[in-house]
Amino acid sequence: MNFDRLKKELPSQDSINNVLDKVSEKDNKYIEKLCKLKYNKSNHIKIIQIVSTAAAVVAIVTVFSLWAILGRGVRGQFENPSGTTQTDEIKTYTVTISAEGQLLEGADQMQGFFDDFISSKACIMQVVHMDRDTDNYYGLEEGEVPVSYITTLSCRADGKATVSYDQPDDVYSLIDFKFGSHEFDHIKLVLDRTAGMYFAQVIDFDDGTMSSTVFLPLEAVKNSSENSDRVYDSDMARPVTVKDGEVISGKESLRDFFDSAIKGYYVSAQINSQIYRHIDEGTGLQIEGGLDNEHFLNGMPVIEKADDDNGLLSIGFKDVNGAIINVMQLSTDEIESLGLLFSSAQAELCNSSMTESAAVNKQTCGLITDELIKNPPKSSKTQLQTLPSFYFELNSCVTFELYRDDNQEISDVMGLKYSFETSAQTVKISDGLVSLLNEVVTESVSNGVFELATGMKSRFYDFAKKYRIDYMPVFSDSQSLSADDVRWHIYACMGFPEIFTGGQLNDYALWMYGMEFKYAQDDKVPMEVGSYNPETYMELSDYEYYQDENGENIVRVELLQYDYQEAYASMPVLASAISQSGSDTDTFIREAIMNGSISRYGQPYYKHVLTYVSDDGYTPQRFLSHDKYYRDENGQWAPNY
Amino acid sequence: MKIDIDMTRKMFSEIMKEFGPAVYHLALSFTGDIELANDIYQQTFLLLLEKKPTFTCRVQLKVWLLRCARKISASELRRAENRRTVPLDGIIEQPAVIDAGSSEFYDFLCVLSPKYRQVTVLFYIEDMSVKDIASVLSISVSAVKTRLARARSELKKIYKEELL
Repeated sequence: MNFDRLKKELPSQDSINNVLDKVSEKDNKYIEKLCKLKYNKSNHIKIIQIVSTAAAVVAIVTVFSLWAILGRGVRGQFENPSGTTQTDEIKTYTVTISAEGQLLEGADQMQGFFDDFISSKACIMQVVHMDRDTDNYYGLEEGEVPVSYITTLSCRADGKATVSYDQPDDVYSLIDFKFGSHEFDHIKLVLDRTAGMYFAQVIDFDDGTMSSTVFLPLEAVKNSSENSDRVYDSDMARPVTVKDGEVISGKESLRDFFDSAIKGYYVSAQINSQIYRHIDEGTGLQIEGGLDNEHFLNGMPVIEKADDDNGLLSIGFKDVNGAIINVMQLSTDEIESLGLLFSSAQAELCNSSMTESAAVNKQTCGLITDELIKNPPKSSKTQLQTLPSFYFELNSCVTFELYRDDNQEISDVMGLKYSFETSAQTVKISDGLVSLLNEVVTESVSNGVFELATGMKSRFYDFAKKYRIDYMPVFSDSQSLSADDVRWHIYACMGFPEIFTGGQLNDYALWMYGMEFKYAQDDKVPMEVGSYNPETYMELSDYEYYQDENGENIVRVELLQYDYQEAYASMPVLASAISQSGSDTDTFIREAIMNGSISRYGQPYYKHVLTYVSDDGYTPQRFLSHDKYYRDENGQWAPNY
Repeated sequence: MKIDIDMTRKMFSEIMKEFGPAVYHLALSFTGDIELANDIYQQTFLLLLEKKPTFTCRVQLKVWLLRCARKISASELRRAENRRTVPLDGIIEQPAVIDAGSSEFYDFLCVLSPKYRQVTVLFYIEDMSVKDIASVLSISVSAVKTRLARARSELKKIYKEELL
């Protein structure tokens, strides 16, 4: 296909004339200004598209000298390897890697990057990959090795490293040619303790394959682990032996393993001869030698009662579907003595109705964990008379019920609920913890940072799917509810039933909307079955539960509807992540909504505001209103009637 | 001083000649409908005259026009969707129906989904940089690259005997 021929497709002459007819004298000055505009790129680079029968698309940069300048420029930057740049206190380090994966320049830069990375500081490392072969390039000076591509590893303070893949301006197609149809989208750093080295994994977007490249010196990492909470030294990973709920050997390794895993770091341990690797919070747990090298997306550690009720607790990892893989069984005493019970990196404060929550920052979590391990709660016989003001979920095992006293301060006596036990016990906590929790509550309440709890969002994701909100008729003064509206909603909810009678329509309309249509019971309702049945794909953005003036319990929800394909395509490495997660796409997307990934990468297309009668704050007994909004040209929500 | 309206129109026709095809191609890639694309083309240039935004270079002007064309296209599609009485034909998710003009442009458009069409049109037909495309479509540079790679992959499957 020759794109040049397509360029000849032009707007109609009538269209052109219509516009020109509307040009008036008052436009003269403005049009003159437009005509005087210039292209501001003085060194504008033209890309000539070279047609090839064998390859895909090859565009060649015709300004040869730019490459030379670029090549020298990049290398010039590394002539002073210690020359880091610093922007907004985030350091940028630069290293150069040969086509064979060897570190050419910037060992001290890499050291600096790992120092920051391991210390949970935000930092950036640019890895400049030199190309192997000059034959594919035109205009290079003899012997010159061009930069092939640059990967930028941006490490956030929370320990996650995200990677952008980039190349010098205007050479996109050149890179595309170099790697055929493959395009790299993601690189992550992994420490393989067994192999004793770090490596970067380049992940291909389209087929989800991984390839190992860029081996990095372990020495730099080892040195960086000093004075760090995040221990990467493989010597620490001594084998662990567990028997009958007791840790026979390797307590330190076990503590390190779960502590690191809870914090979302890469860590591995050999437990009862089985090697477990917690890759990161997103990828989850990998078991060496296990079936398919199992991965569990967002596999957070959990503790729960063992199924066989042998008095032991299972400690393992739970994936987004709720499936748990158990690593071992330990006694409660052992779990407490290891300090695992109070370890947390994901504490949440919930309001009394558990509908809203606020995340507690990691630093505070660390302080609370330390305090709890140092001064664990003591049993108390105090009777608690009122409902708690807040719930403080320390981790998947432990929830505190927080009570305020007359001065609105957290009191030092509160209920403590272990999630693996059914009943809460009353405990007395240390003054230090009281002080910390007061700070958490005060800060969260005064800053208004409560957000809808993940559990609520998850429920309403199902809700939108079950009731097919995308098919629900919009109630408005100008458009009353018709039998057709109801009919189509039935189709959507019931998956286009083949038999459909007037009686069914009447019943449904009465149940769903409190409306009556007087169709005869056996009347055949006209059917127009179509094939359009898209995914309902919504996120809860607001929730209210109140009593109206008639004493009815009303739920009001705002749901944001996303374009399924758009959000899907915009999420980095989604295809490969899905295949690794073992989840279906729907489950994966659901999790992405819950953890906010979709919000970050996609834009909601519609907003739905619904009210309905409900006695339990969730299940609809009758829908009262549905308003639908779309984004107008200014990005504002406008009514969609 | 008397303003020569013919001269003004001639100057504007030069602007339209330079940027009009890009606007038209983008509108066509969105809607797949010649009539609608012509309509969006007109609306875009009339909006330029109405709003009279200021630019410092021609690239900015082009990006502004294409962004407008994108927004107007989205708005027109939404309007078309709202006019529907029954949601039978899947307009939201399905590529817009291509007019049966059967020219090569339409054949080409037909094989790609709308979002791949848009980046392909802007990159290959309008010779725009991925950065500018990202700006026009309000998506990230990496998203543009990804879509281009996928579009090429799709095209390769279909036109493997031909040259890209």
